[in-house]
Amino acid sequence: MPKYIEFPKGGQAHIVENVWHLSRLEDVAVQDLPGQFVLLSFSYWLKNQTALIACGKKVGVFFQVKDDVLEDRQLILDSMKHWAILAVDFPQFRDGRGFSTAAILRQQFAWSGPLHAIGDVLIDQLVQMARVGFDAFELRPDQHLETALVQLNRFPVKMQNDWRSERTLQAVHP
Amino acid sequence: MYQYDQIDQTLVDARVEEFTDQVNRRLNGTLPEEEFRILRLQNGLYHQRHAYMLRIAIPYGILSAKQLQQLAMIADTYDRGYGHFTTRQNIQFNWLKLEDSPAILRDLAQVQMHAIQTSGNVVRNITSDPFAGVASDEVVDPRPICELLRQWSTLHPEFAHLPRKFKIAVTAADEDRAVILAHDLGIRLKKNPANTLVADIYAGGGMGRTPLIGSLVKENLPWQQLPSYLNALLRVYNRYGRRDNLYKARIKILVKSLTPEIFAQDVEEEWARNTQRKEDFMQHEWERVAKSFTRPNYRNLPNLLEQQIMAMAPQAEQKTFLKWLQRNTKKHQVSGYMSVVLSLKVHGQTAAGDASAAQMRAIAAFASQYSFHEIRVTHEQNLVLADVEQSRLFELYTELKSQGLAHANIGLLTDMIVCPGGDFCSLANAKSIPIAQSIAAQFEDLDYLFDLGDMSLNISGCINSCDHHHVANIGILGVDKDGSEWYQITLGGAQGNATAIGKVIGPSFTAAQIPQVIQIIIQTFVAARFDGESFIETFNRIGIEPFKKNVYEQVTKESLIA
Repeated sequence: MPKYIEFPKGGQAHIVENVWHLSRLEDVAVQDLPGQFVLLSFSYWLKNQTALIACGKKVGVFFQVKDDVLEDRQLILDSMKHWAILAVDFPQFRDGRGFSTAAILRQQFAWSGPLHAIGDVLIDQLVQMARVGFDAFELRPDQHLETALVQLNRFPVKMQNDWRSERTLQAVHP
Repeated sequence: MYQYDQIDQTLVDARVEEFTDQVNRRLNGTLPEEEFRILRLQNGLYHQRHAYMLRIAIPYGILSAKQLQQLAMIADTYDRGYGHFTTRQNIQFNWLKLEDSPAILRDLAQVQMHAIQTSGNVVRNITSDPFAGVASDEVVDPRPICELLRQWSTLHPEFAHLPRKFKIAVTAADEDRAVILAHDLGIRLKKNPANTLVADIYAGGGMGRTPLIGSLVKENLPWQQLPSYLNALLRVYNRYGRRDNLYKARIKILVKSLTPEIFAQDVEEEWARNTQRKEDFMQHEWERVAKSFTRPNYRNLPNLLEQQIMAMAPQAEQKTFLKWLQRNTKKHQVSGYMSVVLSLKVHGQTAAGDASAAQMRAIAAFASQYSFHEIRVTHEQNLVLADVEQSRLFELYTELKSQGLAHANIGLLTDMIVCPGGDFCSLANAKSIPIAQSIAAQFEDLDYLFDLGDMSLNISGCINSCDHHHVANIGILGVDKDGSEWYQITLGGAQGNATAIGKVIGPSFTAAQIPQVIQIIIQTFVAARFDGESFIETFNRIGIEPFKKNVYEQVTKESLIA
C-alpha cells in the first residue's frame, strides 16, 4: 500500500499507509469507485453528491487549480459535513496557487479536518505546505519519504504567523 | 544599522543548512536540475554563461564595514577578485562553483547576510532610499518599516511560488530615489494629519516588455496593517496572476487587465475576509527594530558653506574638488554633515557597479574612519558614505581618489546604469558593458559632462530591463535580430516623482553606431537647450521629433533594421 506523511498540528511527522483511493476520473459511476475511502475531485462531488452521500463510503474531495474556492464558498461550506478529508492538487510543483487555497480553507472556511497535498508534491515544498495548513503529504512516487521527514524539522523559528502557530518574534520579544 | 537577534540568526543558519542539503542532493543525483533550479534561484544562485552567479541581498541597501570586508574575502576566495553591485541593492559574484555555494552562504551568515529570495518567483529583496535616515528631504525614516517587511517577507510560506517575481521598494522622502513606481509594489511612507505613520501603496509598476507605471491602490494605510494588507494583495496576485505565459505573469498585467480600481477592490475584499489580522505589526516589534536606527553619535558642528569646504583643498586642486563636491555630495539632515557618493563608473576601466576586493576593503576602512562603519548601495549602482563631516570632505576625497572612487560624474551622462549583459547573463540578447565603455570613452571630458548637467542613460542587454532603460532619459536596449546584436534607443524616460516611460525613436542600431547616435542626441539637446535646462526638461519641451530627425539623417548609414 502506498504511504504518505502525516504531520498533525501540534504533533510529530510520521509515515502512514494511504487508505485513500484517489480517482481523477470524472465519468466513473459512484458504485464503481474502488475501496471504502475515496478521494474525488470537487467537480465530481458536485455532479454526484446525492449518490456519494448515500453510498456509505468515506468521501474526500480535492480541489484543482481551476476551482476557485472563494467563488464556490457557500457550496463548500454546505458540503463540508460530508467530507472526511480535503485535498489540494498540485499539477506542477511550481504552481503556488494551492498554498493560497489551503490557507483560505483553514483561515476562512475553518476547515479543521485533514488537508492533503496531492499531485506534484516534492520534498522541498513540505515546509511551506505544512505552514499554510496541510497536515498530510502524498508525495510524488519518486520522492524519498525519509528525506522528506527531515525537512519538516528544519526551521525552529519563523517570521510569519501560520496555521500551526504564531511567529517566533512575538514569543521572544514580549 | 539593524543587528540580527537570535531568531534572525537561527533562521538564516537553518536556511544555509537546508540549501546545503539541497546542493548535496543535486550533486549526488537525487534532485534533478529542473527541480533544483527553482530552489537555487530562491536562494539567489543562477547558472550563467560561464559559471554560477550568486546574488546576495543587501536589505534596503545598508552594509556594515565588516560585511563589506567579508564580501571582499568572498570575492578573493571564491570569485575573481571583484563583485558587481546591482540596481536593486544586491551584490553579485559571477564566477562561482556550485560546490562552493554552501560555504559562501555560511561565510555570509557569519556577518548577518544571506541570499534568500534574491531571485525566483518570490518577494525579492526590499529596496529603499540609499539616503534613508539622513536625506534632507525625508518625511520619515523608512528603515524600521523596511526591516519589518524584510522579516515579514522572509520565507513567507504562502508566497514561495508566485506567478512571477515580486519586487517591493519603499520611499519616505519628497523625492523618490527608490523608483517605487517602476516596482511590482511601491510603498510611500508619510505622516497623516494626526502625525501617525501611514503608507500609500502603488501596485503594478514594472519594466520588461510591457513597461507600466504603478497605480495607487491604497491610501493612508496605518503602518501596523502592512502585513495583513500585503498578504491580501499577494494572495489576490497568487490566485489570479497569469501562469500560462511567462511574459504576462507579473502583477502589472493583472492590475492592467482588471483595471487598478477592480484590483484594489479585490484586495480590499480579501483583506476584509481576514477579521483577525494577527499578523499585523505590533508596537513592541517596531520598538525593537527601530532601536537599531537611532541617530549615530553626531558631533555638534556648524554648517559650512561650499566656499569654506573648498578652501580646505590646495589652490591647484580646488576646481576639481569643487566639481566632486557639487556632483558627489548630498545635503544631510544634520548640521556639519554631508553624504558622499562613491562613483563605481570609472570611465573605461570597469563595468558599471563593479568593485574590486581591494576597493571593497578600502571603502570599508573609509566607512569606519569617516562614516560610522556604514555603507549604502544605490539603485544607480554606486556606493554612499552617508554621514561624513563636512570638515573632512577634502581628506576623504583625497583618499577616494587614490582608490579610483572619486570620479565626479554622479547624475551625469557617464553615471550609466548597466546590466552585466551578454558578457555574463544567459538571458541577454546583446552585450551591455562594451556599449557603456564606448560611450564613456567618447564623453571623457568632465567639464563637458558637467555642462550637460543631470542626465540618465541606462543600458539593458535584453527586454527584462534589469537596468530600467524604460525610465532613463536615454535608454539603450539590446535586441537580437537574426543572431546579431542590435540596440534600440528610447528617449524621455524619467525615474523618481516624475516617472515616465521613454519612447522608442525608431529602428535599431549596431553597436558601432551607438557612440555616434548618442553624440547626435546630445548635440540636438545642446542646440535646443534653454539656459540651465536639464536634458529631460528640453526633451519635454521640444518632443522626440528633432532627435529622431537628426539621428536618422546624420548617423553613418550602415544597415539599419526595422
